[in-house]
Amino acid sequence: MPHEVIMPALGMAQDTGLLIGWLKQPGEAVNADDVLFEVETDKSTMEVNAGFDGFIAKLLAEAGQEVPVGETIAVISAEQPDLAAAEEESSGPVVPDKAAGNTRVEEAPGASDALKSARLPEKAQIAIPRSEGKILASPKARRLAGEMDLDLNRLVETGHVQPFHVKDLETLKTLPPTGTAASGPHTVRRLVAETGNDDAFADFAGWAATTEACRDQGALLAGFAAASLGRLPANVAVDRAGDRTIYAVPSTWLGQVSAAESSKPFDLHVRDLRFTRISSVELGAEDCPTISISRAGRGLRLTLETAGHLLTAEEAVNLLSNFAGRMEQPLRHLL
Amino acid sequence: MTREITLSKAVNEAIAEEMRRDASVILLGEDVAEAGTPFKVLSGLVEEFGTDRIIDTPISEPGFMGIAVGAAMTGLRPVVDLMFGDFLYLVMDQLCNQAAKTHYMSGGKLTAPLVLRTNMGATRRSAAQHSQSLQALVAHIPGLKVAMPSSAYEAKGLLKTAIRDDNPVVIFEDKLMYQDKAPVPEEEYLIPFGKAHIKREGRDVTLVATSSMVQVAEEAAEALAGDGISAEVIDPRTIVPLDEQTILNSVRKTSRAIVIDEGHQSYGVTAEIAARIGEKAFYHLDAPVIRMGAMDVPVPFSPALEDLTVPNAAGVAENARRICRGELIHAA
Repeated sequence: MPHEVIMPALGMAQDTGLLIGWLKQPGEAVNADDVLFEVETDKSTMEVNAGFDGFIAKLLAEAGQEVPVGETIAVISAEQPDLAAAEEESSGPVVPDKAAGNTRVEEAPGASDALKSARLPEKAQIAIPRSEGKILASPKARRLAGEMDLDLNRLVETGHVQPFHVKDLETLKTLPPTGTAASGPHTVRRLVAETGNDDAFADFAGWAATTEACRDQGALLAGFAAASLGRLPANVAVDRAGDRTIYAVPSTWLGQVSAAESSKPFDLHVRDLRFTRISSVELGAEDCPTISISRAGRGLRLTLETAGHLLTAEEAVNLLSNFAGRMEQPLRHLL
Repeated sequence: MTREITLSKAVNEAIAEEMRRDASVILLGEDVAEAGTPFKVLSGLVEEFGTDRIIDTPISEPGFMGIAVGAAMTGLRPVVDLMFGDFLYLVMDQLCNQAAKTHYMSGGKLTAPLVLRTNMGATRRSAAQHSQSLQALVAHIPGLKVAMPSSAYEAKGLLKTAIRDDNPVVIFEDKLMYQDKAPVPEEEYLIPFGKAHIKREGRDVTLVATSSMVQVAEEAAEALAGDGISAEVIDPRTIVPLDEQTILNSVRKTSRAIVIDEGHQSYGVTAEIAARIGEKAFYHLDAPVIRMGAMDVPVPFSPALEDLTVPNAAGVAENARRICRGELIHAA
């Protein structure tokens, strides 16, 4: 006899609970007093016990989902469930049919066969879009989000209370773009690129110092980095030989790069480690994307580290490959 | 010239005017002549038109309804007075099987131009068998038109249109509104069927209300205005035919709707209108469409309980506030 676990009412006037996460996975054995899940209400976060001994047969709600009080969110069975069969039965979380409840509706074998043979051939079936993740949003909010190319998942991630309405789209518009959606704020992106040799940049720096009156290699690095990010104007902090200089980069023209006040906030951080013995870095994300330049054999190793919400995966890849391209063939920058 | 008259007087005027205009208009029912009905709606008509045209019938609703259908099919324009809407159950075959289908089943050779005037509405302490609002029952039947006047003005204009219509028309008057006064022009006027009236313009929520519920909706709209919520009140005036376009246009503007009718909520007029909004303005809805009908219980005799069974302004306003705030309503 399977037991249904429902979203509990933890307060008098509570309609829904936000499921923070599951502490058990389907198939796991569970005791009645094991903590099964965590739930957040407007007042508090609570751990909730399984309430029954057995095995997790099904989890019917996902972390981050706002679930109405009384809704079944998990099923605990006495027997070890056949997960493969269960998977086939329902792919993805499905809210159980209330009418059926946990009463097994038996089909007469004949009727079931008749039903099967009466089914349309596979090809003729219409693909019905399933609502994945079950976001509660008004039809109008959904339509407008679609028209404005806004992703309602972003609101879910930021913990915005569902259901979403048209007014919530204003909040959604202010959130960073959808590319960062896949990762929370704690995700760190680390990318490494290597160049063939470091002579090219050194040669370019020498040439620049004579022709452009730009003696400062830090300014060149700042100009390259800012242009690689593609968000100009930008301020770039460059650490060289234990000193930090902040450069204002107004445009891609290297001659315009100038040192700014040391108190200026900056958008990018470049660590020039070419003249140290450090060959590889993994220092974690800082307040802005950071590129570390170290030696690797005859060439350079370029390491980008950034918090997930600062750059999308795509932006990070673009930044580092652009920067690597400039370091390898500095003349590209002038084009 | 416009003066204020009661709904009762407006109905009386409409019948008198149409009887003067068209000799084929007759009126029949229980206690309609000397008694002028229990609500005194028809007082004075028998003096002007005589007992040949204002006909008191025996207490037999199926009988006089049958007479009216036959008379309508053979050239007269009967106006039937059904003393209480609750007695509709007694005339169902004559009305729904005969009158509603005559034109169709005779291949268009026959018409049944009759008007069934009856009433609806609870809170008169008349108990379960004299308090029902059964408009959904007849609105369900193809071949019948259904009018629901919300004031003396509508009562007169709609009844005159009903008498001139070649189809059977059922018109529901709220029995609590007979003494309510409203401005009514002295000059003759007709109100076309299938043309809703926007009683009040608004931009945040549409309140579609019938008959007595129009007053409730207007009162709610007034209260909501104090909270900064601008409610639009729409009176469809006839539920068959229904002016869908006006309702849908309004919902497209406001994105929210509450439908209020005094019939039982389940399978009712509110359900039909709400469903049409759901089907045809789905992508314009920012909140679920709310139905507000009478509770699904026999109307209680106890005054305290009876008052609880019908929608009121406070309830309408509260629902409007909830959907405007974006609360989770009836979460599935």
